[in-house]
Amino acid sequence: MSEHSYRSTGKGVRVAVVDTGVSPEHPYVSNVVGGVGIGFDARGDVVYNEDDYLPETLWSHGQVCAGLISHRVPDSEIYSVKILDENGTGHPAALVAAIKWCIDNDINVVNISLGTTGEKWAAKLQAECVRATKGGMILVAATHVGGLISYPSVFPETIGVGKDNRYKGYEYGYFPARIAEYVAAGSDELALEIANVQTEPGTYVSLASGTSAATARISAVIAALLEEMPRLDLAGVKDELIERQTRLPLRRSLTANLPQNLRDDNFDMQMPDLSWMRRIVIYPYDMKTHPILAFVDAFKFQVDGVVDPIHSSAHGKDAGVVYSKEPLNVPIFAELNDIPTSVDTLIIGNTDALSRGLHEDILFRILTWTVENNKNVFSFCPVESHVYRNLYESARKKNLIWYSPSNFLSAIWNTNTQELEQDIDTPVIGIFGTSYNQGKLTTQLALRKRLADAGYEIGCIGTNPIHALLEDGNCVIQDKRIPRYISLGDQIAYLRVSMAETFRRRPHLILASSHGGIIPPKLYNTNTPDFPEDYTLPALAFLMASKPDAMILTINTIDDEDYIQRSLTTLEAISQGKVVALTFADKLVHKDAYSYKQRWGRRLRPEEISRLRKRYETTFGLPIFCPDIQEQQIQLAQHIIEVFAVD
Amino acid sequence: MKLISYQSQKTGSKERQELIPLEHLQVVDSQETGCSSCSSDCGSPSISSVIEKKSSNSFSGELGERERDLRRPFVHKFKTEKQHYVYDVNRDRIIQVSPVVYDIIDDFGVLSVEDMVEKYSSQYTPGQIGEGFQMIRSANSHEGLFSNNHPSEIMYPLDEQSLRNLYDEDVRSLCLGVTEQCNLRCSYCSFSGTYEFHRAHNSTFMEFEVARRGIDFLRQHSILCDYVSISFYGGEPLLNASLIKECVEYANGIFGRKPVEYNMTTNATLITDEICKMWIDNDFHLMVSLDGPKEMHDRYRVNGADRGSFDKIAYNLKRLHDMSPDYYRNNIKFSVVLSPPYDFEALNDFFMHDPLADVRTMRVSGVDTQDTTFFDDFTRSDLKKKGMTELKESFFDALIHNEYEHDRPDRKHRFMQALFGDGLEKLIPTMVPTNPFPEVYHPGGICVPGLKKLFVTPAGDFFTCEKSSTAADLLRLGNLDIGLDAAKGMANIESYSHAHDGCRFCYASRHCDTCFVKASAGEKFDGKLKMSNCNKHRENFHGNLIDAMTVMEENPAAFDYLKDVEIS
Repeated sequence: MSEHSYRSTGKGVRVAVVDTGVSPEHPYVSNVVGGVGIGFDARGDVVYNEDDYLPETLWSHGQVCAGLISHRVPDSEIYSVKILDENGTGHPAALVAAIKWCIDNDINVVNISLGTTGEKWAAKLQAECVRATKGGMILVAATHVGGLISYPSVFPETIGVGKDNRYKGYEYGYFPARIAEYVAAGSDELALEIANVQTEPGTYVSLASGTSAATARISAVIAALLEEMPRLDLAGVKDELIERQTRLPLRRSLTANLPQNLRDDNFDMQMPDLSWMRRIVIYPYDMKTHPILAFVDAFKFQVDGVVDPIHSSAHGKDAGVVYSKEPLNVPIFAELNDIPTSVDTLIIGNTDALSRGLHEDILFRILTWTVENNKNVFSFCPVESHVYRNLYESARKKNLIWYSPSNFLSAIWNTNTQELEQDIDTPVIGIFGTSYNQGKLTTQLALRKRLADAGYEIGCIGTNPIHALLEDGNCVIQDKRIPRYISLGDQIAYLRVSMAETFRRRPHLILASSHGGIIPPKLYNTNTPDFPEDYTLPALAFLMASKPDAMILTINTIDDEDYIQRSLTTLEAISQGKVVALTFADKLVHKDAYSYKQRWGRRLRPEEISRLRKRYETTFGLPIFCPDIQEQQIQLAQHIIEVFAVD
Repeated sequence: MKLISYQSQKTGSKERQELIPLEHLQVVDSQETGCSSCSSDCGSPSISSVIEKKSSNSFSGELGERERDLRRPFVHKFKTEKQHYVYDVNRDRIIQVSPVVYDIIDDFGVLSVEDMVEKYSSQYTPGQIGEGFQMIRSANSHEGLFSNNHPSEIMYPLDEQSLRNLYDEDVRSLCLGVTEQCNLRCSYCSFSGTYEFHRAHNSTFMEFEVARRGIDFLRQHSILCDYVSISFYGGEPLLNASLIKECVEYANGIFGRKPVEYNMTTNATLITDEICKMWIDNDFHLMVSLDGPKEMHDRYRVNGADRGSFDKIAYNLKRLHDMSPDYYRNNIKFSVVLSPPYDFEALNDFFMHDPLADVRTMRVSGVDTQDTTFFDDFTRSDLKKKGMTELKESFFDALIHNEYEHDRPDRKHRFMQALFGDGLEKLIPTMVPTNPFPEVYHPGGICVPGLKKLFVTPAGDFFTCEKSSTAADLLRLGNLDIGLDAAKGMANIESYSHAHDGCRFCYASRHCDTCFVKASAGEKFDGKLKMSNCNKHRENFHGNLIDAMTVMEENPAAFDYLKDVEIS
C-alpha cells in the first residue's frame, strides 16, 4: 500500500503482535498469515484457539501496532496473538502463554505493546522470556509511559521501548541506562486512531499514549534487520540497533530552527488568564517581590508603584534607583493610601514578617483596603475565602478578583491528566540552591530573558508565586499554609503533572526553579524552628519530579566549599543530570543565612566578583555567573546554549 | 600550599610508614560566639582583663611575624599542665596533639621533612618527626585541619544601603539617657571627671517631648522586630522618675500588642513604693549596682558628701523584695564592679550568704582602665587579686565534679560563674562544624552601630550605644530630626575596620569581642587602643582555652550542659 524506499521489506521474517488481535481485512495490514486467541477455560487453564485471533473492531490497539509494522515491512508475516479484549485488558497468564505459543511457532520478532506493573507474574514471565531469547527470538516491549517499572519491558531479555517524538517515522534513538533504552516516535498521523483503552487495577495496562506505537516501530525495524541478517540474536540485534540509530543533535529542540509541527496547538492552554491585571502596585516591596521589578519586561502589566511600609528612608524615591541603581520610574509609596486610583490590582507579597512585627493581621488590613478601593488581588500568601469570608463576599459583589496560591493549585488539580503527554522531550534545566533567598529566581528569570532574546521559547516552572505571573510560567505551590496542601508523599506526582502542563506549550527549553529547600546536607535543619524538618523534602521532590537534564546550582558566597561540593554531588547523584553552572548574587548574604532572618548585606565589588568567579571555577571546574549583572546574564545564556548545542 | 610528599624524602626509609589512625587525634570542637550582639556588657572591660592568668605570665597577646606567615597552618598552640593542644582557627576546633606535632606544626608547609628532621634532631628521632608530619598531613587532607587558609581581606558585611535598610526595620532597642545627673559620686565612674573623653555629671534632664519622639522613632523603625526594648540610663535615671513613668505609659499605649521590654540601670538609692509598683507591673529588668559587702561597696559608691550608699540600698532592696520576692529574684541583676584593693573571698562570701544578694544573675566587671587616673593612687599590693586563684580552683572543681548547675546555679556558684564562667562558656564544646574562613571576612566582634542599643541623649542626639562618649561627635549617629545616619555609621565602621589588617592573622578572630566604642578616643579611633584591646582579647582567649581544657582533662563532660545553650 505505502510507498517507501527501504531495501529490506521483512521478507521471511515472522512477527507476532501480542495484543487485541489483528485483522487481515484492514487496509494497512494485508500480511496477516495466522494467529491464535488465548483465553481461559472454566478451571482457569489456558486455552489456545487458533481460529479466534481477530480483533473485535477494526480500529483496535493491536491493529494500529500491526499497521505500523506492516507499513515498514510489508513482506513480513504477521501473526496475531490475541490476549487482550476489546477494552484492552487481559491477564498476565495469557502473556506467558502467548510467548510460549510464539516459541512453539518459530516467531522471530514478538511485538508486545503492553505490559503489567504487577509483580505477581513477573518471575513466570521472565522465565518464559529467557526461554524465548535462548531460542533466538527477539522480544520488543513497551515501557510504562509514566516511567513506572513495567514487565516485561524492564527484563534484560526484552528490548524496552519508549516514546520520543523528536524522532520521525521509523527513526529511533538509543539511551543507555534508561528504562526506555530505545525510543521512537509515538503517535503520529499514521497511528492516529489508537484506541483509548480503559485500565483496571491488576490487569494489563494498554500503553496507548505513545510507547505502544513506538514499540511497533522498533519491531518493524528489527524485522527489517533480521531479513538482512537472519542469524542475529538479541545481543546482536541490540548492537546493530545502536549502530544504526538516528543520532539527533544532542538537543534538537534547542536549535534555532525547531520544526514548528512539533507544537501542539490543539490543547487548550489552561494557563491562568491574567488579563485583568493591567496596572499594578506591589505591597510590600521586599526581597521576595523585587524580581517583579528587576524583570518587569517579563510581565504584561504595568507597575505603577510599590509600597514599602518598612524602609522609610526609601519613601518617595524611585525603586530602581534605590535597589538597582538604574531608574525604573516606579515610585516607592509609604502606605496603601498613596496608591493612585488608576491601579486595578494589588500584588500582595509575603506579609508574615510584617504581621509578626506589628502584631496585627496585615493581610486583613490590606484586603480590606482593596475591597474598599475596588482593587483586584494577586497574593503570594494564601488568601482563603473561608478565612476572610465577609471581605470575600464584598469583593465578589463588586466583581473583584482574588487570585492566590490555592488558585494555582486548583489549576493543576483540575487538569485532565489523561490528556497530558507525560514524556517530556524538551531539555529541562533545574535551578537549585544551597539555601533560600539567594537568587534562584533571579537566575531563572535572567536566563529566561536572555534565551528569549536569542530566539528560544522557554517554559518556566517553579515554586515562587511569581511563576504564576509569567505568561509561560507555571507555579507549583509548595506552601504549607494553604488548606489543600499536597502532602509530601504526593508531591512528586503533582509536580510531574505540572511539568507536563508546562510542556504542553512545547517550549524549546524548560527552566525549573526549585523551592528554597536545601539539598542535601542539612536534610534536617533543627536550628530553624520556623521551618519544619521536612523543609528540604519539597526540594528533593522537585528535583526528582523535574528530572533535569542539566542543573544550575545557586550558591551563597559565604558557603563552605565542602558544602557546595556535597550539594553538587547529591544533585547529580539523585537526578543523574549534570550541574553545568553555578550562579551567585551580587550581594553578600548575612552570616545567619540559614536561620530565620536572612538578609542581604553589602554589594560585592566588581574585583571581588571576578576574584570569586575565578576561585569557584578553579575549585569546581564549573563556570559561574552573577545573574544580577547583565553581561553575565548573556554569558550564562550563551553557556547554556553551548551545553545543548550540536557538535 | 605545596605539601611535600612524605614518601619522597631522602632520609626516611623507602617503606611507607604506618599511618597514624586519626582517632589518636582527639578533636574537641568549640563554638563560635557569633556576632557578639552588644549586650549590656558591651564597652566595659571583661573581668578577664583585670584578673591574672595562671599561664599567661610569659604570654603577650601580640601577633608576631611567625603568625603572619601565610604558609604556616593557621593555628594557635597552647599547653595545659598535662597536655599539648592546637587550636585550629579555620575549623574553630581544639585538637589535642603529641609534643612532636606541637613542636613541628609551625614548620608544616614551610620546611621539608628533611629540614625538620635536621632542625629538631636534638629532640626527636627522624621516625618521630615523620610520624608527626604524617599525622598533620593526614588531618589536613582528611579533616581540613591545620590549613593555612587565611582571609585575604577584612571587610564589613554591610554597606550603606543595607545598613540603611536595617536602620529602617530593625532598631530593636532604645536607650534613653534621661538625665546626666547622679546623686552619687562613685570615684571610679566614667562620668566622675577622671576619664579624659567622657562628659562629667551635670544637671541635664530629658524632656518628655524628646523621649516621646525617641519612642515614636523606635516604633517606626522596628517594624520587623517581634518585640522592642526600652532602657533608661543616666546618670541615675530615677532622678527623672516622672519622665520614666510617662514614657512607660506612652510606650504601652502606642506599641499595642507588641511586647515592650523595659530595662533600667540604677544605683537603687531613690526607690519609692510607687516606683517598685511600676517596675513589677511592667516587668522591668533592673541592673542594680552593688559592689559587695558594706565595707567594699561604700569604698567608692559614695554620695557627694563621701557617705556610703550601702545602707540606703539595702533598705530599698528589702522593700522591693518584700513586695514581690519572685520579681526580686528573677528581674534584678547585680552589676558588681571589682575595684582595688581586691578581696575575692569576701565578695564570694557576701554573694553566697547575704539575703540581699539572692538574685539569679550578676555581672562582674572591672573598673574601666582606659584613659583614667583612677588607678594612679594604688600600690602594687592593692592591685593584687587576693583570693582569686582559690576561687577559680573551686569553680573548676565544681565543673569537674558536675556540681555546677547552669540553669539554676546554686547560690554558692553564682558569683564564681559571673566571674569565670562567661569566657569558658563561649568556648562551648559542641559538635557544630565550622566552615573555613571565606576570602573576605570580618570578625564578629563589632556590632551594627546603633542597632542594638540606640542611645538618645537629653538633647535628642543619637549615639551608637549608651557607652559612647557623648562629649565627642565620633559616635554620634544623627538625631531625632534627621534620623539614623547610615553614612556616618558606615564611615565609623570603615575607619575602625581599616585600622589595620591584623584580623587576617588573628587566631582569636572567631571569638572576637572587641568593640569599636572601646577604641574611640575623642574624635577618632585610636589604632593603638584598638591594638591593645585586641592583645587583651587574645590573651583572654588564650587563657580561656587553657582553662577549658584543664577542666575537660579531668571531666570531658564538664561542659556538656552547654550543648543546648544558644549564644546570641
